[in-house]
Amino acid sequence: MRKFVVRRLVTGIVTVLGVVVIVFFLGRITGSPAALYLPENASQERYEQFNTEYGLDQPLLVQFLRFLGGVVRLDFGDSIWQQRPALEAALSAMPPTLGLAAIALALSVIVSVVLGSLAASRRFKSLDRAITFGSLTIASIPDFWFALVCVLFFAIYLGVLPTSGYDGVDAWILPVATMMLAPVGVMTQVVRGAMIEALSSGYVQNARALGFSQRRLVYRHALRNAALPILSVAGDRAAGMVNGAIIVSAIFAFPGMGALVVGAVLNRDFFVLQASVFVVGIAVVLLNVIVDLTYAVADPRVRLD
Amino acid sequence: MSNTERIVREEDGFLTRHPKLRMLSNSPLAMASVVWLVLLVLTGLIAPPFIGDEANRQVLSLRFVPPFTLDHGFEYVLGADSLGRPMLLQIIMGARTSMTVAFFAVAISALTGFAIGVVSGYFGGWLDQALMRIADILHTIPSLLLALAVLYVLEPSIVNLIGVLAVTRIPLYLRTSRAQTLELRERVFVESSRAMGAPAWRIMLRDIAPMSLPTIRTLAMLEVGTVILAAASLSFLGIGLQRPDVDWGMLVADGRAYLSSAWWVTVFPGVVIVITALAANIISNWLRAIEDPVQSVLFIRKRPRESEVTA
Amino acid sequence: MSSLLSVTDLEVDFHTVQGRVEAVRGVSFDLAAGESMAIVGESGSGKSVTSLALLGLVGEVGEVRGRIVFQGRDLVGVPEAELRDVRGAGVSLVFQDSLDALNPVYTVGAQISEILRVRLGWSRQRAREEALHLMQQVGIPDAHKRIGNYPHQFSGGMRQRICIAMAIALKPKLLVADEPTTALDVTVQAEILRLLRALQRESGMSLIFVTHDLAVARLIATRIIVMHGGRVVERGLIDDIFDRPRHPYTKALLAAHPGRVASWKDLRPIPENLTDEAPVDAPADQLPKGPVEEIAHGI
Repeated sequence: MRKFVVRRLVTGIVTVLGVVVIVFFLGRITGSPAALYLPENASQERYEQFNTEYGLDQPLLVQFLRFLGGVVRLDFGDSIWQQRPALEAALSAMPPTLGLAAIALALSVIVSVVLGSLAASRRFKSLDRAITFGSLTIASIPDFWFALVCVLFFAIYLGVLPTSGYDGVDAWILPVATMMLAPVGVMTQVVRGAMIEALSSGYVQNARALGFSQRRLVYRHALRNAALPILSVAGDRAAGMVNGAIIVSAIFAFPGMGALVVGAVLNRDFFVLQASVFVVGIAVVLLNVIVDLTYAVADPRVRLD
Repeated sequence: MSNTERIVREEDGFLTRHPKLRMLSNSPLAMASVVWLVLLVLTGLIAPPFIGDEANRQVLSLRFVPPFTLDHGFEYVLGADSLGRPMLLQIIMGARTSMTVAFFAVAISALTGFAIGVVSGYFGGWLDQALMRIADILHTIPSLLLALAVLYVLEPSIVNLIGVLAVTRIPLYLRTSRAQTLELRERVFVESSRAMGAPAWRIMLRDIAPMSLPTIRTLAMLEVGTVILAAASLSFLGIGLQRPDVDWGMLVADGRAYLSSAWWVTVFPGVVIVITALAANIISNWLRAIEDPVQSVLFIRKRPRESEVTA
Repeated sequence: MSSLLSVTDLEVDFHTVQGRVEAVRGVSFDLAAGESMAIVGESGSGKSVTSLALLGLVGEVGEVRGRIVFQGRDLVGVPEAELRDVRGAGVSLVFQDSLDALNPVYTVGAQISEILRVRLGWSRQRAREEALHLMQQVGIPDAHKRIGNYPHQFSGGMRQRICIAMAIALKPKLLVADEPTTALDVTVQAEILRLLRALQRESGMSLIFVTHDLAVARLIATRIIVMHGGRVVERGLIDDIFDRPRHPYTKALLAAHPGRVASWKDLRPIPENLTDEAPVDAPADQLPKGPVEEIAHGI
């Protein structure tokens, strides 16, 4: 077990390093990397000063080594915009985003499991068709548009919810709802599929032959097995939550990684962008390891490998 | 009678000979979706040369014309934006862009991912490991974040947008086709090809690829909806495209500042996005359903009779 | 003599993309308490569908007609809730694939206990004790230790015993075994057959054994019905069928069995179109009239 965790972490770190390297080269593709960091109207002198300061006039290899050295020291440069180390800015932006993502993902899983199981156990009947159609529709709604429409309806028209801000449960409702769209839309179908497969398996047939009720077959026999692919998918969607967070902060001015990243783009702060990619990458890797471990705990066939 | 003759065949006819069409006709939603997409593609192909100028013409006297009236002509039935441009026409122009982006992004990522996956799975070894690491990297970064970073560096343009979308989606196809290749590689028919001296590229092309193509195809259909949404998100954030290229996400973004006064600028393009993505999702769902022997029955007869449906 | 089970004109259709499949046509047979009967046929003959139909497990795309009278009550068309009462307690089923039939995420002890707790309302403790006892009854060594194991930790033969334990937990009057030994080694096969006979003897339950293997049928059953193309083509006492097969299909089946011929050259494949031949019934005087005594065939 421990060997497994270590192995996955190492792979994960390699992956994140790969990510960071890619971003590094991304920043060097254009002829004048400094342009990515400096405001558009910066003077020529500023450019030259910047280039010398950050060694952008050095050969690429040297730059790369300097960069790697920085990464190892966890130094991603200083943010001009934020007036503090880029990594610090990125790390401090994580908590609100994590909170938002965790709540949204948890609620999405609950909703999907309920809807997907209902759909699977009444397969092909009207409820199933309604749920399937509903989940397909939800999966087709762009989150940014949904957020705007909600703002239009709830905040502007009805005046019941705030359009922006961070404190109070009110301010979290629309952001969480927006972030739940894609996961619910996709996971309901996954749950339904996994439940249908579990329900048509041999052990459910056997249990049915032993006279158990449909309800028992669904919730005790099938769900426990369907939980495994559901877990996988939920883990996959975690990375996608950051996407949602970006949109959410753009529209609701919700603090967090989304706001940071969008701000970094608008303010031409590539350091912060790099650091953000690094932090998010690590978070995703850690999450995947946790999901894998949970999978091993949940599925006895995997445990003993 | 032998076992196969115990099947009672239904009367012959056009629809019997084309089972797929028959199943389609029994499924109104799938039909409607196909119709919508065909309509969209046709409009996107044919209309732009005719309406392009109209769509981009700024008529300041017609700023924020509300929808649902025909007072200013058919093209203003969905209202006008802040510069007096007719929403309906802009949406149609956006259709061309959105569909083009979606089509190419999906096609490129599917084919590339598929090809790399087959090669990776077939040869294994360090090549496979390296490719899988790269796929992991692409998979770990949230696509929007990666796209943000890339489009920050490169200039926004249709080509770059398609490129970024394609690259971020490759891992999905890569993993799937690699997994299938790993399994197929051990099968007897591949062994026999190898024994007959077929070169690797031939085995991959003739034996392995055709077997995993259907799954990839299903996956691609599923992805169309996702890509449309992803492209719209990027345009909404202002990093996907720039005018005069118009796309639905951009239209939604345009209307954001005037949400309380001119809701139609934001709402209508979004509705079109929803309908289009939904159509793609319905079709891919239907494709999967007909491939399942149990489900496909329901597309043959209109409704299962009571006596057949036991718990 | 009133029979435990009386099946009359059973017909099962399936609706598929190609059309309606007539899986079972006009199958009729009677079974007395304590009797063991084999249903023999190739794949696709409708034998498995028949056994599923007995428990109402045909599913959504199937249609069942005819009469299945168990303990005086017709089970065809009966609501699901009533069927559930009969399943497991009146009629029980053992499937061919034991790995598939067991839930991979629960221990075998939990799965056996569940039957007793849910169907009989027993306490956890009492159910566990009985589960242990059942495992010992079906011959699982070290039952104390193995009760906490998962299905994938057992061998095929052991798993099948566990499935049998689950099937007899509620002491059913009739056990239907659908090719339970087909996937097992020959030696394990013999043990399972022995187990089934022992269980029958102890409890007096009837057995319907579905198989494609005539030799196995001979080891376990006293009566046999031969199915082909969804129909019963011959029926009678096991020994009679073996010594004096009348229907061409039965004869072909026997001739195709490697154990029956002197040289492989004498093996004959079974011709396609034998269902046109009329089914043959054993003359009434040859059918058993009372409880059947054991016929030892080397078990």
